[in-house]
Amino acid sequence: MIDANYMDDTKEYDVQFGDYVDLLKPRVMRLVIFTAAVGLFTAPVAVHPVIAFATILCIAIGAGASGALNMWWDADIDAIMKRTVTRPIPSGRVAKGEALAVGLTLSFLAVMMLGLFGNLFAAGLLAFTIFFYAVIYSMWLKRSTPQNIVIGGAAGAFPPMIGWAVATGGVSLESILMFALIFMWTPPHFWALALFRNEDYKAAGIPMLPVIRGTKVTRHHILVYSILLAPIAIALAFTQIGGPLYFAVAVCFNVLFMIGAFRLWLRNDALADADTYRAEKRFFMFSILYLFGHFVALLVEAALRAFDLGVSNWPVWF
Amino acid sequence: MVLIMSGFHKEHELHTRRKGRNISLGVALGLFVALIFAVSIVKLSIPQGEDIKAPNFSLDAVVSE
Repeated sequence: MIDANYMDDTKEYDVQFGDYVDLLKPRVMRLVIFTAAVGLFTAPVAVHPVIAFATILCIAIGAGASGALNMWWDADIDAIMKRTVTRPIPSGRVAKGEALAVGLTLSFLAVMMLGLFGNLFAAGLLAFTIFFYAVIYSMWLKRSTPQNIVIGGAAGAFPPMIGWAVATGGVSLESILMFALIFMWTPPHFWALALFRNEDYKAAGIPMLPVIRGTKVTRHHILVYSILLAPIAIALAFTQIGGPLYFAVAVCFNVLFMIGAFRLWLRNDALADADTYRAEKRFFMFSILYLFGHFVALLVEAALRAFDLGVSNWPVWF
Repeated sequence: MVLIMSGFHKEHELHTRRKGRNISLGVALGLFVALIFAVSIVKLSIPQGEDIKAPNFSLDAVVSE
């Protein structure tokens, strides 16, 4: 029997190319591109610009693909939360199955091409990152523990390590510290967001720290993680990729970050409600600048070394 | 006959609506091909390491020829 209705289906909304791009979380991709590029360009091995471009593109596509898989899995809760309701699946622009297909296809393509353009070790790391974000974080941790963002933060911390692996073919203390910087930065960054988006997470039933343990414990955790973050950030200054400029930037940003975390620790829900979470929102925005500032400083140090303008007697302790 | 033929050539509304998406996808695929071409040229012109060398490849042998 001929299905005469199929032509009517075509009158529904057609997926546009931009909808597929939105599936890849372009804002997250920008951060991935930047941190992966810093990992690649600060490495002691020079990479041809074409290879650098191609491999960073693969890392970005891989990260985007894991974002599409995350959206496929989390479509139900994305439809509940204000922050995510306009994403392609809950807004009805892309079907769930299509998101899965895009995620799987691009994951496979990105890993395979990174193996060909770069090396197998970097490709393996990218594959693990996609698996970690899509399976370990999205499918397992996100809905099961208030420590979801602590462990899940590793997925966002891998890109500079992959960039470094593209250039060197391995892992070293520098790339581990870059990983640790993002890993320790992620919890205070997302908990600040969770404080002023608490109702959203409650409605979606996601066990974020403020939902399960309350906002007071969350503020305490933000302060502790901000203090633990500082020595990691500053330690990078005394590796081969650090230098006086990075050291100055790291000290300034970490002092301001800890002051911000201390201010949040002093506040309570009544104060936050009174000024519509102004301090929490400022801390969240500053945390983005914090990470950006550190990686820009590393990039500038690499550029200075490339032009023989680096400080030759700068102490390298690690 | 002319009328029938012109009916065949009339672009369906579906294709008009999807034109933007199809062009974007075509451009993306074209860029992908260009990227592979560029990387291939670089990999073939600059020795990147042992992994891209053919078996028994030796620069000395090339120079002596």
